[in-house]
Amino acid sequence: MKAKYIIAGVVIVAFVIFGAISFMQNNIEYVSASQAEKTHRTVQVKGKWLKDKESFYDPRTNTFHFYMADDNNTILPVILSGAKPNNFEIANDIVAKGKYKDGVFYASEVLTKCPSKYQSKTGPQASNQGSSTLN
Amino acid sequence: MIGKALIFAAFGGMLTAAFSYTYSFFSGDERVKKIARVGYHIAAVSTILTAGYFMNLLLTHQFQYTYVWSFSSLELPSPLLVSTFYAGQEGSFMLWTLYTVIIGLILMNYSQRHHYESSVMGIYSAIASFLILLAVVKNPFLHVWQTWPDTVKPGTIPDDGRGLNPLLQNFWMVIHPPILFLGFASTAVPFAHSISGLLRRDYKNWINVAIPWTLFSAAVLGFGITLGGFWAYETLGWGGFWGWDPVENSSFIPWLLAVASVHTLLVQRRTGGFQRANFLMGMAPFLLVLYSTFLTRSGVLGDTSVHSFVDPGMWVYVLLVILILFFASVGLGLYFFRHREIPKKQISYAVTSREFALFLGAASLTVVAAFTLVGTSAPLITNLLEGKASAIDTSYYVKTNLPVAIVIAIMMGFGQLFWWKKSNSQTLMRTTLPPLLAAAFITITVIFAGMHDPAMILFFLSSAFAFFVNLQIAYKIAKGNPNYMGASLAHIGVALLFIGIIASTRYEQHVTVPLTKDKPAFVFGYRLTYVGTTQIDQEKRAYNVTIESGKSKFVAPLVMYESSYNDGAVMRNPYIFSLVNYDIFSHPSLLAFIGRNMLTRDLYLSPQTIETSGGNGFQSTKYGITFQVDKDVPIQVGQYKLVFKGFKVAEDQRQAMMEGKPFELGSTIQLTNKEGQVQIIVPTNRIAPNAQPDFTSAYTKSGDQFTVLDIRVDDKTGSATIVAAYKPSEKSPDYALLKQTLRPTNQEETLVVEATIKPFINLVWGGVIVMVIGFIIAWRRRRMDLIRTTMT
Repeated sequence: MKAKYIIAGVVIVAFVIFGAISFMQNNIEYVSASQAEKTHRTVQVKGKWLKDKESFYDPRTNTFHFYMADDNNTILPVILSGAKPNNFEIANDIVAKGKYKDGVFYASEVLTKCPSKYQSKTGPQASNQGSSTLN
Repeated sequence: MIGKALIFAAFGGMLTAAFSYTYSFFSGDERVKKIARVGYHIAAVSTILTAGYFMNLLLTHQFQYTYVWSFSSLELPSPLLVSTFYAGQEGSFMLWTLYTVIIGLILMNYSQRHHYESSVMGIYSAIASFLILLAVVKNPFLHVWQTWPDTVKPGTIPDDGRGLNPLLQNFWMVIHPPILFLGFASTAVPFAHSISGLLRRDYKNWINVAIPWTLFSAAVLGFGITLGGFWAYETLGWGGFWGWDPVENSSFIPWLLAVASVHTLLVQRRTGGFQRANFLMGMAPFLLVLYSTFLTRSGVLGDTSVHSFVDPGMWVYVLLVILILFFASVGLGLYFFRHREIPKKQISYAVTSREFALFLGAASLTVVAAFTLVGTSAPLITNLLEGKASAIDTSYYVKTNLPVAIVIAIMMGFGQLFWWKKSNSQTLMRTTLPPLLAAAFITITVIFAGMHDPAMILFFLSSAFAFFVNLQIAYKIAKGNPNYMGASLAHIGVALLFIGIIASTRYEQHVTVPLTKDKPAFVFGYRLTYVGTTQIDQEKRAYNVTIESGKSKFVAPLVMYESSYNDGAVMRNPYIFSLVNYDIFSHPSLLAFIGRNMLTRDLYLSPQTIETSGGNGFQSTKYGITFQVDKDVPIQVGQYKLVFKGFKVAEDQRQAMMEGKPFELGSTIQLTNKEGQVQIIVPTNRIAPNAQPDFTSAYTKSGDQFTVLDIRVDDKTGSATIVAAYKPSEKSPDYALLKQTLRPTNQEETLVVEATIKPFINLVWGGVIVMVIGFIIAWRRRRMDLIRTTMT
């Protein structure tokens, strides 16, 4: 009976360690653009899309190129693998997840934050026609 | 006002029921129990009326109510209009409450029969009271002018509502949430039984009464989760059926615990073991439903997930915290108070016993739940440890859960082969060998077919083993009494699901193809041509792609549109050639095509973007017409033959470059006009880390402007590419071209499509269906058992 408890204990400890290591390895830190440039890890950078700067989709490589500015207004060129993300035009904030290499942030994913997405701020207006403008 | 009054009546009735039942339990007073029943019935009737009234507001378009205005509109067809009931937070809580209350009516009768009424219904009514309290705190019957007092005049009745989010406007919205919420609500029943067992010092019999409910939860939650996965796959264009998103995880975790507790409860039923652990296992699914609800509804994950979580407001947050703390401390407190006196039956079992296999299986399920729970809670954990919230990469879930899933698969096989207490080794050998050989054979086949990852081979082998073992057993049982085949069927389903997951996620192939209009491309042996668009409604537009294979030719409408509901966000709906394709009804010939091509795989076509440009892939910007050019590869840009000759750093900049300081980098561009005159221009870019890229345009003699917008150098191959823009001067013959590109024409459209082959994804759906049928059969059997034992 004792042996069984010891084995169970060892297994549990092993799982906890395994889980903790994986957790730390896969935990994606939020960093600033300048921190992102210094690390080789996958990180997340939160900021805003610079709309008046160049942005385009390259169908040959299936990448979307744009510039973002992080919360310290540091500018970061981003190459996202994939098309322009959903909600990109209306996002208040974007979060780019990826790695920095040679002057460019190679993003595997860009999340868009749209707090107003599901809730109206003003309610129904006098002329209650959905008058959102498209970009 | 009616709505609010009904909610208060429901809350009053339910609170009365909770207190009276509890009082009746401790005092043994039967009369108080009658008061409790009356209270419960008042609450039930009021809740049902509240829901009916709420539904009526939606169906009759009472847009003066905030909820009705926010989620519905005149144009919604009836099934979707019904589904707006639970489109928002208030409504989905109401649906949960409604289910809880109705299940409670059945439970009242049930627990009366099994003599647990006062304790089970006491705790159950307390749960229901809290849920109703959520509606008291967050009134679903607010008027628009109450929600927006500053911008909306009292008495305003809008003509139409905002409508339902187009993402939700499909069949799955009608059935997925109601089933999932039924599963969530049902977990309260095993919880109430577990507490009741502890209160009554009934450490044995409670499990017999709780088992059918746990099986019910497992079946319904499992089915609901799968419908969500199918929805994501089929409509939302996420590209897969599972994304380890917090919202998905939060229904997965309680389900895992429900399934694990089915196993541990059955061990106790058979051998008397796990008496202590089962109280915790019985409570776990419900407590995790509460925790998950808190995670996804309170806004704590707000910043770290794809889903935008609406902050429900201070009171809902506080109430959810109280709800978790209250029931967790009641349950765990009672457990620690009692656990010393719970008899500990020493059950001796060998490693080759069914008890051990079931224990290991349940433990593994719990470990998967724990890993998933920790990952989903990562923002909370990192916030506590590091002071700032950060999410976890989804690869964490795969990495941690894969080894555990292999153990689960092995135990699904051996659990059915082992005997209770101890297996006879000779019999075990004899029964293990055939399924093991069959599994080994098929595994070797897939290794030859290209499976090389050792972890995947092991996972496949153990899943195939589990499949054959259970197939054999299911066959034997089916010949005898099919009522008993629930477990083996459920395990067959899970084994098929595992194999489907391996095949469809690890061995999917995908390519991104730009389809220029009317120019075919060959993808996975099919000829794809983008042929034009069809306007579906005001907003939605289908980009039609024909697919040809041999003589068959079909049109796949890939839908992509800017949703005004979502402030212009781009929505993309994929088209899937699969066994589940509704177009076979309108195109019967499609059936033959799918039968020939899609039995073992799906072809998933997802639109990415449409490039409408003025020709030759040019795009217009404020710097003119953009183009991309590789070093030393001549291209024609308007009137010029253009060669990008390479980079150039001026003498005075070289020093800065060497020191890593900002410097000017020139791109040498050679232009040859129609007359054959050659000139070299050098637009420059300021290269500086952490700074805004800065371009300096260069001009030709005739005043045409060239700007380099982006520089890409591949270190490995040494290739260099620049993205540049050409802005012809007003006198230039290309000026018309500029004007033309500024006004996008539809002449040269390129639809970018991601095409994916998903091998054997049908095993995922098929597996889950078999699993759910297994759960239902097991549920029926345990109910029968219970009826039989209570009759004798």
